[in-house]
Amino acid sequence: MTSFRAFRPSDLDRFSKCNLDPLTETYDLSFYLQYYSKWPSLFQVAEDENGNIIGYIMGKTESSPDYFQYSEHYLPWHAHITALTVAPEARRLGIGKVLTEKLEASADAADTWFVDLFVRKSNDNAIRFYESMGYSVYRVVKDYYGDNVNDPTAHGEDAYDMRKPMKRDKTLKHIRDDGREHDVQPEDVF
Amino acid sequence: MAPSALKITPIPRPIHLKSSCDFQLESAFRDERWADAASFAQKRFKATKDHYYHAIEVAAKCQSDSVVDQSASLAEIEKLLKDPRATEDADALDLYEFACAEVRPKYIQDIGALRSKIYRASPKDYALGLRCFDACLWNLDWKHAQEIAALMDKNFVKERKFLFRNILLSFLVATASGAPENTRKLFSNLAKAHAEKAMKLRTTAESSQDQPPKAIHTDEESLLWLDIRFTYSTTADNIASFRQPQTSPVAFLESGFYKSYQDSLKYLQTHQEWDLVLQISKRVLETSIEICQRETSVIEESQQEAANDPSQPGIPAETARVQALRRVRDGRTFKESQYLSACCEWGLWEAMVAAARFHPDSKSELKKAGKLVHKMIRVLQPLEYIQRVYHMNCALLDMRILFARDSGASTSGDMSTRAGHLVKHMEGNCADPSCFGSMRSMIAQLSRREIAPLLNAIENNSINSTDKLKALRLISQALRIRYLEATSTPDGEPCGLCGSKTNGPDCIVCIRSIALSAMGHFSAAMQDPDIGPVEVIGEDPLAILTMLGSVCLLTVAGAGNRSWGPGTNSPLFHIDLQLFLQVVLWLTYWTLMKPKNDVIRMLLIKLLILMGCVSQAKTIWEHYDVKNALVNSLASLLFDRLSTISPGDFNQGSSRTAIAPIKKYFINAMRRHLPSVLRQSLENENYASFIDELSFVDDLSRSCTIVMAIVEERRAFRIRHGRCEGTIDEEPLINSHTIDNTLIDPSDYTYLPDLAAKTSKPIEEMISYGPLPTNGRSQLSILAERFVDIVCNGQVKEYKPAKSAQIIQSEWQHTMAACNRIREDMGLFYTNDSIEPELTEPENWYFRIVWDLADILNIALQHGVMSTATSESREGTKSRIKQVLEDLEAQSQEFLIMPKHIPSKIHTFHGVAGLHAMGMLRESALVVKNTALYLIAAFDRIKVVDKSRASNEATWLVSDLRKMVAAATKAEGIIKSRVKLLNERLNTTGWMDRVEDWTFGDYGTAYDPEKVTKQKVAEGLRKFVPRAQIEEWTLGITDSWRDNLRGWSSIKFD
Repeated sequence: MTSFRAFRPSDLDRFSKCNLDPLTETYDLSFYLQYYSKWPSLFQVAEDENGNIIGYIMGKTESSPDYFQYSEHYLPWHAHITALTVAPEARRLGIGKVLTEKLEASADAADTWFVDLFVRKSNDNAIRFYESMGYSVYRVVKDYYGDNVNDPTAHGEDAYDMRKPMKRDKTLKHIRDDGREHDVQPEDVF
Repeated sequence: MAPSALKITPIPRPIHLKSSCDFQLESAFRDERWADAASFAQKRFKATKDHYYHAIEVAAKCQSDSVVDQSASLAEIEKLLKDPRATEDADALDLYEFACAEVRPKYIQDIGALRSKIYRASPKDYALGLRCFDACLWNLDWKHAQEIAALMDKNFVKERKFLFRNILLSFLVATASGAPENTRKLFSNLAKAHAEKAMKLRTTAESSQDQPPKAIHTDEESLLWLDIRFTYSTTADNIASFRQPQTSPVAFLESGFYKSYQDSLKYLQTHQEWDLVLQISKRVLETSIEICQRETSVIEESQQEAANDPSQPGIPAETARVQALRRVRDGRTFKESQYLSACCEWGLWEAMVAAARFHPDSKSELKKAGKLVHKMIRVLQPLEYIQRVYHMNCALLDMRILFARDSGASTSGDMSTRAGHLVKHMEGNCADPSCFGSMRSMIAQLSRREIAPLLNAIENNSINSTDKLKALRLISQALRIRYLEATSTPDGEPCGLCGSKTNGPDCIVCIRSIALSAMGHFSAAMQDPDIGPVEVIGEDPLAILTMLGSVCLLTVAGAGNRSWGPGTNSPLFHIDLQLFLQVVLWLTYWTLMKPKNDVIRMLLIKLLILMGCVSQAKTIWEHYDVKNALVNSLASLLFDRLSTISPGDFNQGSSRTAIAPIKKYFINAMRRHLPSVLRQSLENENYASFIDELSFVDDLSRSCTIVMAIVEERRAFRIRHGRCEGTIDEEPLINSHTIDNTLIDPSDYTYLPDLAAKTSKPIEEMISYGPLPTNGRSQLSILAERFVDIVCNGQVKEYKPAKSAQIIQSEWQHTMAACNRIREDMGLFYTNDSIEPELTEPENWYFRIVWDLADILNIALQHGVMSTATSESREGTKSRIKQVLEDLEAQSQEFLIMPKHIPSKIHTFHGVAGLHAMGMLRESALVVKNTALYLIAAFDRIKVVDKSRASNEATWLVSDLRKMVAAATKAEGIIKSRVKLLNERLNTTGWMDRVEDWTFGDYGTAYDPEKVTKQKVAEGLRKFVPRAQIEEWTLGITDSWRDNLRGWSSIKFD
């Protein structure tokens, strides 16, 4: 049995199935609590019958600061996926999709223009996953990641900034068909 | 429910001097040049008579290393806090708060009162109000934060957040532990009245657009209202409220208050309001079905129109469908979206099925519930891609409904209907790692009569399967079912599988047979090129067989059975060594082959610790990279009791100790980050989050892991160096702890195999080095540390104050009071011997010795040192000392005991497996010696300061104290000899052959019931573990033992 619900801080003591996976980025406790204190509805978990957390998504809503508003890289009010992880034993069940849909529902309720996220250019599985959910590449952030998982000699690795429009963006003005052709530098990204 | 008051205080708030201060003073203060800052501030105060400068001077002096300056400044603050002129500005208060936050936190409440007073004097000053509020919030001073919030609510009526802050803080004041009854009553009434009014404003508004500002607008505000209701209203009132249309769970759902909807529905289930639960869950599903059906019609019509639209010829049907789908989704109303997000939730389905079971016509209602869920899935399909997880939940729900409707009486041939469905379900989903776990509760419901045909059917399916992997998965399922049955024999009944007589829930006959079967299948599969080396997606049956076989063999070997008790000094004392080593080899083999299996790795770590191979266990542990948020729940799995098993293993890289990151985690979480997290919650108007965070940190502050970390670090240092480093009262995580603060074990044991029935002993208890962390053990550990601090650090040798006699008297009064408290508090746990099952036998000796020593110290100081002893007090003290000496002697003797009837060369194994007993003996010896030395020093000091005392007055006690020192020295001698002996033995040659011989050799006696088992397991292991790997394994074990003993060899004895 898998149930979905909003995160609560006591879940942190049941994160081991997700966070011991070496591919899952882990954070200090204050980082999780900061997200919970600011954006509780954007922090959702999947729980098994024993109370273990077998997947979670953590996100935020934001826009670029005002001083950025005349920049071509200005980000309007949107939601951002900071972390999405599913325990290895619970993968291929669609848990990641359900969690993402829940975050999108909250993003819609917050009247955001889109949901975005960053993913390594080499992470084909994740890119396919997000594309299947309606996300597309909006731009390429050059050398966004300090390391390169496939080439340790490389400077870093590019990130795809992927987006999915929310209900507010009726004319789809915040997405692009040719996002892979648009390169930006890390300092352009808020 | 709001949490009780936190006992761990946050770090002092960062402070910046006012911009009007000159650069010289400001930079001295910022650079923490406290003497300079104090001197500059003093000069400015003299020149300007501005009290702010005096506050700076006092604050700087408080940070000084000079105890005299610090104490004087604290006294000055105490005076200033009573002086209206000195406390009229908020900046000065910030400085006083900064000055005393660490050294005299009790002043924080006084400062909070002054902040409230300052704001009351200028209630229209918005910035001042916020500043005072934030300061109180940082210091978790709810009382004064509430006063300020209430006043701000009154003065800034347009700002709705102050109303909800007022409600929240009133609630916290009312529920704080230790709040007087009248305070509780007053503030609970306030919180409730304000919250009810806010909800009423919401429910009486004509529409959502018409709601007044002070009505409840968000889920978080609604959750705060619910929290208050659940705490203060009667169940009947709450249920009545949930029956009202505006405050029903459905109303919450339609408003987008999803958590309020879930919490209120859960509340109704908890209070068994099944008619209402059924009504709500049906309504949610039926409304969702209507929405889906309507949307499906729209999509079909759109597709039809697109197909017939001459202006868009040739548009692909799929494109038309996707476009129509998007239009439909974008056109959904807010309410419709809420229903559709709730309709597939397991919680809703489960609530409906639970409610249907209590319906008078339960069979029919259960059937309807199942149909409704299936219809929901069916109508949702054209609109959304239904994820596999929902289909799996639906299949599980079907099984639950079947089990609820069918008692097992209906049969098809030999098989009951429900068992038949179980077989089908398990066969169809055998690749899913969660399948067996989700079926366990249903397997447990099957009668004995149903189990045999179920097992036959699964085994037959396995035999008939042409897919080798599937066949093995089915075998692993059948073996797990057998294991569940074999570990759930009811009291006084024979085993349900084999009919054997059992002693407890476990049938050893069956468990032995399952172990051999698992080994047989594993061994055969490893030699099959189609299975053994294949990377498996989904459930790996070989991993399951390894886990199951290992757990069964451990049970047969006697793990967790009679581990501790009088006369035992290690958890392996009664265990069958050969079977144990065979399990370790099997797990090591698997871990080397598939290092990603976390459950098996964790099991192996625990077994390696049991046998003293700590460096090996740590190497595997480090691959987990346990850090950040996992520390609280996982740290004790490695570190609990490690200081006494391998004290040398506490130095790690650049960190001072291996425990340092654990302490840092807790300090950051509770002292450093909590205030800003709470503030963020309030700034974002997330009141329920605020309560949850507070509650979480409250639990964190009561975590046994904190106590474990601090005590392990101190013990490791003490065992190695023979002295203490700092006192436990210098540990901010623990120094305010009191006995009434119940500690909790937060450990996550789900990383160990969970295969046995609930009636059997949990695996974590079987394989941990002694009983798991508990409140009792943690409390005793803290109390013992406090006592150790008294006897190790209590005597100041070089301190020669003016009124020495008076000061010594006062110091001893304090010591006596502390000893009395320790003695009394420890006694609470020893009443009726209830604590003993929570301790290892060596821990029990140690705590009992400390308990007696606290009494000896108290009586000896009172009746021997501070006054002349009476014959009665002499006898009392002497008899207690005699008891301690006997206990220490008994502990020493017990430490040396070896299991009977074992070959002498196995003594070394039991020596390294029993190192914890050696560590605790070292602890007992140290505390006995230090107590005696404390009292001897006390007699010496009283003779110096009180010349009227006869020089031979203490002779009656000193001889006994010398006996205590001698006994401690003797115990240390025993430890030294044991370390030397183990080192000598381990540094001889032939250890690899010896360990291999213990694992594979013929050690069974004629009467050994496990002789054949061991032979069969050995045969199995030989088939798949390569020769070279066995050699590497034996080398790894002996090297790890040597590493451990190297640590023990570096111990400094006096």
